Amino acid sequence: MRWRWSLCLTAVLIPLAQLQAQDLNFDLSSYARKTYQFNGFVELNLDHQVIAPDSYATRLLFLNSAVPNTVTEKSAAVELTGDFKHERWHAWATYHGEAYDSELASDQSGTFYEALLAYQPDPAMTLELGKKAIKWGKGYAWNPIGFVERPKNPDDPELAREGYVLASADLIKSYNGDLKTLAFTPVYLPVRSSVNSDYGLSGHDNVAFKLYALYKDTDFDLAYLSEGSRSHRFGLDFSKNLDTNFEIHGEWAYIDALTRQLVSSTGSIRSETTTASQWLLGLRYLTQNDTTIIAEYYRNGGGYTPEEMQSFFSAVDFATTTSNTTLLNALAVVGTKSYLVRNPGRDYLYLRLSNKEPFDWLYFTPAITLIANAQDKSYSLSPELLYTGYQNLELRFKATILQGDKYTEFGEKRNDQRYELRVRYYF
Amino acid sequence: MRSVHLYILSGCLMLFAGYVNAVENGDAILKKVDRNLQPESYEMYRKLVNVEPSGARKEFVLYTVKKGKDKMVALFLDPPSDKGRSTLRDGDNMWLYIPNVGKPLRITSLQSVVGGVFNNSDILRLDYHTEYHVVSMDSSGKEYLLILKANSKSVAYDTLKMWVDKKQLVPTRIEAFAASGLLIKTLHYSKIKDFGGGLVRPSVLTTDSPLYKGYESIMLFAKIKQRNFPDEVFTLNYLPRVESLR
Repeated sequence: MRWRWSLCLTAVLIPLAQLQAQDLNFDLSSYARKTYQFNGFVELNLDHQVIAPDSYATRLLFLNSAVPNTVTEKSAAVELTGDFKHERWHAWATYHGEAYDSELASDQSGTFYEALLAYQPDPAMTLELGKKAIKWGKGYAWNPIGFVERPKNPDDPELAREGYVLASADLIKSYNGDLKTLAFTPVYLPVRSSVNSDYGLSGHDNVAFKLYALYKDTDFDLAYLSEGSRSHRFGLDFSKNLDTNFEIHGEWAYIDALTRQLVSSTGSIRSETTTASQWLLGLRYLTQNDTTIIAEYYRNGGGYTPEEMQSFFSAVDFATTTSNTTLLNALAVVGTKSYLVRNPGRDYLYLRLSNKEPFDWLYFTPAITLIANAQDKSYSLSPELLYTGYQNLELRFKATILQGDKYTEFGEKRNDQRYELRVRYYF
Repeated sequence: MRSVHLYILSGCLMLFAGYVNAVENGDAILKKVDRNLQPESYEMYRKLVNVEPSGARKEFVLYTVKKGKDKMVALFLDPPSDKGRSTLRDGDNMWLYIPNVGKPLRITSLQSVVGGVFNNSDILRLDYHTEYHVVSMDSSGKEYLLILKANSKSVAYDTLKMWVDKKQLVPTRIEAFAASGLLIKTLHYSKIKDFGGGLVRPSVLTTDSPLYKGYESIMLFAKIKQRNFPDEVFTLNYLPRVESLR
């Protein structure tokens, strides 16, 4: 009998040993550089919103239709990146397509986020032509010096964004000493009726640049945008590690002429052009129990004060009371462009706590994010749970609760609560 | 009485000389250990495997390049969810580039971009003698035992106990301690392999930690080759283009 047990044990142990040995193999040929490469992801989303029936955003959005209690949107998205490299030439393109369906609307769309040709004569110089998503600034949730990019969504700052058609260069110089790196990035961004038309005024050739320096272990950027489709503006940023677990950053931008639309409580609409400075201070701190804290204070110079927001909401009241549908429609348009956009206020606080793998739950990352309008004390609070334990699969559940008094930014959003489930598969 | 004092003084001097000698030898051994592990400037392919107590695992493949004492870049080649991410180290500075985010973010050495037991300083590890100095060496056992102290507060571990194979002059085991004396993790080097170019060194690094009971992280080394790169490769602006070095 003993030999049978030995045989059984051997039969179990040998494959185990082989498995172990096989597991410790690393076949490098699978990772050889290819001329062509494709990768991307597909995702499915379920988004359930509890509508705030009495909010001003709801009233303007549902001017001509009944207000639902809830809206559930099912959507799917695909993002595909193709990459081709030949000697000093490199070309790549990222296509983003999405389709959604809800009680309110159904639609599908697709566009190239990026499509770019790059030539790199040597590592210190790169020339690029095509559509590119340039991202400037050190802020996590906001970027005042993001002069040549579409704005970030502070609710999900890591989402890919569509770029603009442009020509740019990257010139890098390294040094020994306190100044370690200097890099210069000039950008040419034309705006015509058929190219970059949503960037600003058409018919302008816009020039921007960024000068980067790594000096005494601190990142510095100086950014500039010439007068053209948008007004002349310039800014600075910095970022530095104060300790092995503590980083601070800041950003400041000065805008020569910022046009704001203002609405009086009786509904008269006027434009005002002013100078504005926008700045941000932030930190990233890692605690001993592996909790990452990101905190930012953002001063949106040119944003609306609580009194200006209240004026707008009072105008909606006035138009409703007097049954002035022409004014209501006009306010809906102004609201969509200015008062009801993402973060239209003047002072914001962003706080995000995320704990990597708490309670020994490997690949679980719970997080909670607070975005508060510091002047009117309204806020959105979003707990979320991310799981990345399955190979190539990412699951995220996120709930958002919006709170605020009457006439406040988050108190007058179209929803009170929001629940999102996202399943993303990478390939 | 004078002769007793002389004896004590010469004894002290001999002990001090012995200590200095041991430390000097220790530093020389540490430098040899570094050169036996990898050239000062190189390119390298590694696979990182995180193993859970349940046996479930997650793998990452990295392409790494290093120049001189303190410049290093690691590019993720796998899994697809992390493909294109890269991390840069220049001295004590570390950044993470995520293609979607599109701009490098400063990260800290104690964070982990891969989860599991390895933190960023394990993944972007510089030569030991760059970050540590030898405070004592014991050569009485089968292996050398070096006690290393961090050169600055910005180094992830305050103290290392390193056991070194006397013949191969490569580490076999390293215990990493916090300044409080707490054991943070233990690294086990194994499976000596000839990587070519005269480099014969362990090809597997296994890490466990009392802070992550039951979890294990393994680093497999597939290719280590001496190669020189221009300084401009180790800059933020170059991070999106690291793939072009392969």
